[in-house]
Amino acid sequence: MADILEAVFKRHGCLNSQPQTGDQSVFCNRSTECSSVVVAGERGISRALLFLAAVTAAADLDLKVLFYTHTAIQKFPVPVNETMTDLKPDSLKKIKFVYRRSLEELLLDVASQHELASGAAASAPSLVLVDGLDSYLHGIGVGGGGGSGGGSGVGSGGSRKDEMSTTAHLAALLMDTSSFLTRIHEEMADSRGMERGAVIPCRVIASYHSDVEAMTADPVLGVLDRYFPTRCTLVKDAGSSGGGDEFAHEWQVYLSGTGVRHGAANELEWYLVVHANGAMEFSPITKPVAPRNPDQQMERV
Amino acid sequence: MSSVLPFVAEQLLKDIEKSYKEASQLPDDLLIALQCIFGSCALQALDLLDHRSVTCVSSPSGRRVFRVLGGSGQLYTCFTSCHYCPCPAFSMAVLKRNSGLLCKHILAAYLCQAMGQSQQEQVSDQDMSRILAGQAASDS
Repeated sequence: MADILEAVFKRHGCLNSQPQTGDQSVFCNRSTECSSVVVAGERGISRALLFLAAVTAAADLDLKVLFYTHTAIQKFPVPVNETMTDLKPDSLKKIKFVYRRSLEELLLDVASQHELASGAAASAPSLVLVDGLDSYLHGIGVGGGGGSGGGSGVGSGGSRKDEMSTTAHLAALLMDTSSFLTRIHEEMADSRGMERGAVIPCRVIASYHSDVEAMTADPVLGVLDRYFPTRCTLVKDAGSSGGGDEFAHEWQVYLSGTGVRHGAANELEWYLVVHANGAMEFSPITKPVAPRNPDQQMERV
Repeated sequence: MSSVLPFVAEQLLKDIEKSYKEASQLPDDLLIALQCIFGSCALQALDLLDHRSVTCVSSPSGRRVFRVLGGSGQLYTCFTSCHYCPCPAFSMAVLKRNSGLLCKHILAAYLCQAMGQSQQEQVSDQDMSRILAGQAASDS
């Protein structure tokens, strides 16, 4: 289940439920494989959501966060002070922003996390965010190919098949790395005499820009769905009123995939209002209770 | 679609591990089950095992990965925690057509794990990073 995203939705919205710092009750699933998410939608809104996830994870959940991005973040994409009035600057120090311009650089950096993490488990991240997978995979700003035997490094001239293989390589490497980082956290817990159940597995949340119309036929997104058990789809609501704010935009947020929790239908769809100042406000879409089967009603009568 | 093995395949690999530990060989019924689940990949993977083509590479950090020498002489780095192999068959049959669970290289790595038959190689952490990133000298 996308537990960290769920915590973000609840924290920044009408529910505004703030967990105690380091509260582990939000982690409903203790498996890396079931908790990683690909966020599909427009680039700006996806980046803002990832940024919100980074701040919430660092400030509220006391997690170390590694944030990969293709282009430097010049200013906060989301004003967080309104909903997180108690945000301390020190909390943001738990977020490490890493700018990688090309796919080759990103692959090598993710692949080398084991060099940094081993022996210094306290510094190993528990949340890895990758902003704009498409920027890397579609070769925007990429200097060229390379590493053909490893299946990586397809530049802008790469074929669709190669792009799918490269996507699979990057996604598999992210998952394999998060599994390794989780193991590092578990070994540290063992050495400190802590229970393994208290260990928070490392999660991966990555954003991928895709038009809504193109999503169903996008083979790259299909490959990402294979590795990321949960997809968070952001769809702009064209006819929205923005909750009375004429400059606001409204979005619908859908969680889907094998990683979503069964029996949680009311937490799978959310409204998102992005106000004129960029502030994001989430509210759950509550589904009406399904009417009883008329035949059963007749029997009772 | 999934990047992990279905339960039936996982159980079969456990049975193979148990059986191989006890008798140092695979009985016919498990070989037939392998063929049923993985199709033509099964025989090709066993052939890779016979040729000792699978190497488990590890580094001081504790990171491990499998490298499989294909029939063409190409070395493939395979992830087993979540399926990935850079070979053309994986791209076509698994990623594009979705007609197979995995390729012969990943299956060979799984079988090696189950039967404890892989070659072992120790590399530095830096070399491991390059292998994982598909940027090792032997990849080109």
